[in-house]
Amino acid sequence: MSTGIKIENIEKSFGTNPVLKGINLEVPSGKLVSILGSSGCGKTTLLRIVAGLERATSGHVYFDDELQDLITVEKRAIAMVFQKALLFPSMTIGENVAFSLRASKNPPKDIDKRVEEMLELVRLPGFASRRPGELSGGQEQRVSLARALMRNPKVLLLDEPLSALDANLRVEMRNFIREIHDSFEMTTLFVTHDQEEAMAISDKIAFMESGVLEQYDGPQSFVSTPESRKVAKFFGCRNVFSGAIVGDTFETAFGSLTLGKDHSRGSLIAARQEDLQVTLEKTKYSFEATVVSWQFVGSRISIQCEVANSSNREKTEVIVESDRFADFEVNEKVYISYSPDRLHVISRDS
Amino acid sequence: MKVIFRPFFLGLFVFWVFFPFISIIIWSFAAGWRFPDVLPAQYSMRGYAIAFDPNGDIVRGAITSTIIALIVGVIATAIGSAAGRAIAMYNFKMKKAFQFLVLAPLIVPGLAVTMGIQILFIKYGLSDTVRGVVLAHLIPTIPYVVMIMTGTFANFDRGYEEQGQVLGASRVTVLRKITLPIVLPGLAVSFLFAFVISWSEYILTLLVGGAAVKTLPMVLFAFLRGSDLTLVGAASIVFMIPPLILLRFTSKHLVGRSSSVTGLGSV
Repeated sequence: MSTGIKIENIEKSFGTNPVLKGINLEVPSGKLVSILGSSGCGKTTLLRIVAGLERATSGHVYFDDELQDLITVEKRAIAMVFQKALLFPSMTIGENVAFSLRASKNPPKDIDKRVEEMLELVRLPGFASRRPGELSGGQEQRVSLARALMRNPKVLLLDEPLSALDANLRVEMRNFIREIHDSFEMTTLFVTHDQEEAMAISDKIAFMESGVLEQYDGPQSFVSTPESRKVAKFFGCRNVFSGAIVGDTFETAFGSLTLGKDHSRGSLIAARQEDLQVTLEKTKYSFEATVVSWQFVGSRISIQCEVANSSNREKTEVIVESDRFADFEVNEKVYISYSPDRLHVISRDS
Repeated sequence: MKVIFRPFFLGLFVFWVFFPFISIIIWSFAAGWRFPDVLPAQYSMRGYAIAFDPNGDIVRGAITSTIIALIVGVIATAIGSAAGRAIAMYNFKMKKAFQFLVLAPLIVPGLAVTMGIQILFIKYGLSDTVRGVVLAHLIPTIPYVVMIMTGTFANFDRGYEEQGQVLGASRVTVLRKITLPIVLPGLAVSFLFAFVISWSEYILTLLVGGAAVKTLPMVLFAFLRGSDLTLVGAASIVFMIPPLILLRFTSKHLVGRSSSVTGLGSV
């Protein structure tokens, strides 16, 4: 049976420098939750506080209903994998994997058998007698994971375990982590700065910036319904306009946009570039624009347009991303069409 | 040209290093060696008979020296490692001052310091005792250990200890199973240095130990004054043995694969 994690109003300062500014987060039992954010946002510090490696300035950490604040690292029901595999150089792979068993008060008798089973699980059968230096980066990280799982933790903490690996291996390993998580069903906190990685394997994502939890949601929500401009930007939304809601429309500097049903309230609107289209004809929901430039982005094209503001003499930049090459010239007058249901009003302007 | 020069310089180097030893070895077996003879006319084991006499001054001096050097080696390594770790891995107030103070004995002559603290030693009954000599020997040995261990811990990844902790190991287990094996080369070299410095220390021993604590260098000096070169040769050979044995076990950490011992270049 796994354990839920409750993080209650955690604050942390290093000297006078606040790193975490009141984090509240509940991780349901058996789920895989990513803590996502750019470097320096405090995500690793938060994980280290959950592990007990760092002490919070104020606030509490609970596993289920059990307060962890005064429990030392080695007594917490956790296991943690770091960015570096940190295989103990004086031990063989097998001894590394068996470390938590040998360090426990009553070491079981069938250590060798259990080590071999665990190595098979991480697809490194027969590696027990090898030495850490003989392994590749991916293999080392799998041993590190096996070593952590051997402790049979209630909570698995992963601190950017993939960021030292190369791109292809990262994709393989993140799927592997998800598989392992599903077979053990242990509550997992996964710290990463890679949005794609978090989106790919998480049940929920906790997005942090500058020591604040910006949004805690399912992966899809960060794309479709970002709660702040920072979230929208981080998750790749290129078009965020300010304005105000008037009835069923959102009034921007360049004109009004029709909103869909059940829109939220706020003073910002996000229109994802892939939800927009450049057309030569006016459509029901569209506005006039001029093409400034375009370029290929992978197999798609990104079109940079300008829209003349109605309220002042300036222009607003709008980016459209399309998978089709439209028949237009640079400087040509075109229409940008949108679908009202795909526009999202951002409720917070942090 | 290169082909000729290399063996030539190598030969010169080997001669340079080993010539003094050769003469000592020959002297230790000589039963009289007069100028201008290239080699002694007669050989004998007289030097070694005296040197290895179980009740003789040399054996007793060697035992005293070994005991003192072992204790100094252990204490200096322990204290110096703690200080080296602090300097390499933590930030604290007055760190620079602490670093300076720890390394100061390397620059300030130990003799001057010992002259000053001799009065204190007498006051606390440490004068003329093995304890006092051990304390005095810590003065020149600890700085070397600090230097070596600062380098060792500068290359030590704290992450290993945290990794041990998050796998459920207590601090003692982490130290024993994880940290010690990693810094072992540094510890071995530190112990070697502390042992050898203590082993060959003369002036501090003379000042603190007086005539009561007779370490091997004290005995050697007495023989040197006696100008029996056969005996001096044999005693010198005895004097060289323990450090060489120790070197045999630690040399693999001084060169080669072990990259953790780099402190000698870092200060």
